[in-house]
Amino acid sequence: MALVERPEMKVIGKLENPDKLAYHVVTGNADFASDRLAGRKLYGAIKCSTIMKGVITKIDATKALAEPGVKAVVTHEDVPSWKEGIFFWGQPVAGVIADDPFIAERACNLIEVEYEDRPGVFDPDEAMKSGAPLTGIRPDSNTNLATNLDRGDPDTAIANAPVQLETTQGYTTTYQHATLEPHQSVSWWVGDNLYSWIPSQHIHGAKNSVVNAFGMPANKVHLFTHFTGCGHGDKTGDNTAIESAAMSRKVNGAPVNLIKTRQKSMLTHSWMFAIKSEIKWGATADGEILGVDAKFYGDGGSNAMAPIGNCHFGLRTTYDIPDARFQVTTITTNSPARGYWRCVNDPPGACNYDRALYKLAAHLDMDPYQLIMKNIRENDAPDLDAPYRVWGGIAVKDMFEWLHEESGYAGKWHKPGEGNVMDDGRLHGIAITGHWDSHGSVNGASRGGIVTMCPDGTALVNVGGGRGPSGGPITCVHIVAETLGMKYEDVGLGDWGATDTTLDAGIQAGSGFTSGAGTGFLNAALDLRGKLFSYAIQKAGLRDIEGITVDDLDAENSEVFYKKDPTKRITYRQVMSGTPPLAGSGFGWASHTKNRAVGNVPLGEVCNSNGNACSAAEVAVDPETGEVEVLNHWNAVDTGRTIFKQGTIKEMRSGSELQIWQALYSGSIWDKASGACLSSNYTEAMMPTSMCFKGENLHQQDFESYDAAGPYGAHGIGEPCVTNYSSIICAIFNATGKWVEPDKGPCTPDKVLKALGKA
Amino acid sequence: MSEIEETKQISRRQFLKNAGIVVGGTAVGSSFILAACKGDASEVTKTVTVTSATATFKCPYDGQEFDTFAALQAHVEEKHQEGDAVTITKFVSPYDGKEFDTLEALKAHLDANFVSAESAPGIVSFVVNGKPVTLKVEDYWTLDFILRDRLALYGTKNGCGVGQCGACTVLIDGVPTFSCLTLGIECGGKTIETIEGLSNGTNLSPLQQKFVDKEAFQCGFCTPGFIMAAKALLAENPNPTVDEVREAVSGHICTCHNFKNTITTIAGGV
Repeated sequence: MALVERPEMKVIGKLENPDKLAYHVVTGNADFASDRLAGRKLYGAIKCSTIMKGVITKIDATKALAEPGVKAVVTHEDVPSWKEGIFFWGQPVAGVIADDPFIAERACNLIEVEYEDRPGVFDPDEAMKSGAPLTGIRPDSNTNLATNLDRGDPDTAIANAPVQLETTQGYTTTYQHATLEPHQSVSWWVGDNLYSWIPSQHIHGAKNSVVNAFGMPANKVHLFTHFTGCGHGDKTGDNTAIESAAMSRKVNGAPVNLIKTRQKSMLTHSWMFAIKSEIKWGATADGEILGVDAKFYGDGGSNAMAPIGNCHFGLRTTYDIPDARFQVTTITTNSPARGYWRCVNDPPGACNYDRALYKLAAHLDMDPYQLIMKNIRENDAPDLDAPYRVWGGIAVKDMFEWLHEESGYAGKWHKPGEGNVMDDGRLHGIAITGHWDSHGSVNGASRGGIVTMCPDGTALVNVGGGRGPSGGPITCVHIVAETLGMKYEDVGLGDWGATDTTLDAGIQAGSGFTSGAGTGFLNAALDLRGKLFSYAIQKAGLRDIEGITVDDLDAENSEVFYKKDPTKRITYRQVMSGTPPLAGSGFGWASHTKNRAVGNVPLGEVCNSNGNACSAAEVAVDPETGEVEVLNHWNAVDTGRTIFKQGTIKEMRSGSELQIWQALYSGSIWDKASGACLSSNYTEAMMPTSMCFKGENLHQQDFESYDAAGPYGAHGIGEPCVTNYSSIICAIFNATGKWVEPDKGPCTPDKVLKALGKA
Repeated sequence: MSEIEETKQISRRQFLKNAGIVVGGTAVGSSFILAACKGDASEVTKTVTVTSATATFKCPYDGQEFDTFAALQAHVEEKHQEGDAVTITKFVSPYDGKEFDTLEALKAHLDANFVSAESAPGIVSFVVNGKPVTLKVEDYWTLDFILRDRLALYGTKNGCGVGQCGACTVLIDGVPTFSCLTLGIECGGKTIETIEGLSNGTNLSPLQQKFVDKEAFQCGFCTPGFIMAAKALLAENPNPTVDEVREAVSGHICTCHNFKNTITTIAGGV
């Protein structure tokens, strides 16, 4: 669905373009970090703390070192990223390097660690109380007011509104990424040069982390990545490179493959934060929202910098509310760090304000869709709180309208809990949610690319990033092929994921790779195109055209042609014949309007490039068992412009499955007294399997708003497609008339029955 | 031929003289140092050669041929006078061609210098993707570790190590099996198929091609496991329904959440 006119593409967006790395995947040749040096490496394992808070007082590795096959032991004194202070149960405290991973793990159990136990606090509500023990993660407080924004006079607006409502929303779910590829890396030293293979969503960023950790010159740190197993934000850091490098250094540079077990991988890497909220509304009887006072509280675990501060974003930007207050308090607790998951703030944030919106609608005896549409902002409207910021392309309103039509919402919606009994006795419910998203161009960070031309006229794209679920490098191939006017099959992946030979393509998160790296490769291809055309006009077939200049040329289907007479054309192979090796490089920021002016932002000026998405869910709730079945789920995502069509469809489809997972399955079990995680494995973390998804009831639609700042109008969709699991929570409310509070976990049957008063 | 080295200490050394991996036909003839204990509990090591599972032992009395020494011995004891010397032909070791006058002499030679792959401690032989493999393994090594670290077959992944995710799935005698829960030492005589064995060089199997055509993967970490499970399913049920596929792969996890695409790709067969 096109919202803005844009030129037709030859390569970009074509469904028939396959993933260039498909063969690697299906043959077992997709090389992940540990897939190397068979029989020629040692193995590392880590030991984790068994207290929630305290200090290590003694580490005795005598027994471990006596074990046959054990080469060395490391502690926080060897590993720059480890600490002597303990801040959560499961924090790494020691490691073993051994001949095989089994010896390494067994030897970890023989390391004796003594702690000085100190009072800590696990529960976020306890941590916020006056007099609570300090977690020690922030120097003098367990809380931080990360966002405190007033627009107009919300107190007066709410007080004077005809209708007032105070709502509270309980904590959303805490879950772990649990990426199928456990965290692992292989490192070795050659002299004072470090080499590491890691899974990574930002290999150049990981290199910076390693450089800083060891205080090394950057030209002596060589990081590599190819295939990354899942990721979803959990592989944006150094991903154990620092740990395995320290281990390797301990054994004189021998290659060490650190593989964290499933349990330890889940303990030591980031979790999704749970967020609760108190939201006050002031509105008219017919649903015009006059004011809102929204306070959010998020558990950041042991991460002092947990990225929770923008969880209000969708509420702030999606609706035209003249007077508003938004506050976000981040809480630290002695529990594993919370960090990036897909779309960071937006999934739990949306699950809060969407529940509050639906409560307001119910209070007004109003269809929530009507409430949403009465207050939604127009596409391309400027930011109410920062008028200099506009969004280059937003399609939220259009997506809501499409979902309303496509889902048959008008004929299916009913008042919550009323007139909704299906033939089989289950309760039917439907809901639509959506928002502007806080992610998109990663704040316009500059990203680069290098494109090389082969002597036969084919091209190679050299991407400074790896390949995760969405196939980011393939997006760059599409952009280069389009820009050079080449056939898709004539452009391949060259060097990728190597920090030595590529430019920083950015982070495969925040939907930033498409817009950031995409802009870099757009400019790299333009650079190369200019060079190619300058040689083309010297070649037979074109050089005899009187007065010909590079501006007279264009390219399509891997041929360069004279625009005034397209029959005069030569192939890129002919261009490269006798031509020296050519490469193009470029970089760009994704936060400047390139394609069109937007609102009050003229061409060439700063604007945002954010994603946005909407979802609708139709559910059946069994009032006897509490089981929820998602009958249909629609996922509409604004891509700006769809670049890698196959990858985009997969992302949106998986987005629906991930929304179902967040709503109904994801969770965790803890012993609150000790802070111990009891569910650091797939079974107890309730990871879904194929039996949880009917499959045939997922619907996807990509919207192309033609983002003014994005390369070819694209702004990426990697994250927004997972953010609207509130659609399922709200659909359950529509079905039952009762709110099933996530209570830091999924909407399991027992919670549904409890909400229905049956348990 | 044999080298007897007496060592004084109690040792858990176990190492191969010609290091590491033996694959396929090169398994036979590779020598290694076999640790054994003498009666006084001190350790004796000797250099022995791994023998093939099949060999031809010929009876010098009547020319009949047998696959194993044990079969030859049984035949001689039944049909001939054991201990009778032979004058025209000899008892011949099939491994090195040496000749002996008596069955006892041949047996002593074999015991001193050779050990069958099946009977040597820590030695296991199986077939991987059609190729015979004989390896020296630790008894606690899992099959996925052996495949990855000893045979460089990286396609088999380890996602959990405790049989919860299916990423390590291989076929053992055609049965989909979690290789992370399978000890390598227990795989003697088995036929193992991994993802690497499905394609014929550059030609994908129809199942792999269907995964490519349908783009039935995202990050790709779980994909080999799903494909191996699908291969086993399609061998029994060439045209499975969606529900049959869902059940067949219910032991697999995909954290990218590409279930629908994978299931519908497998359904209907190839």
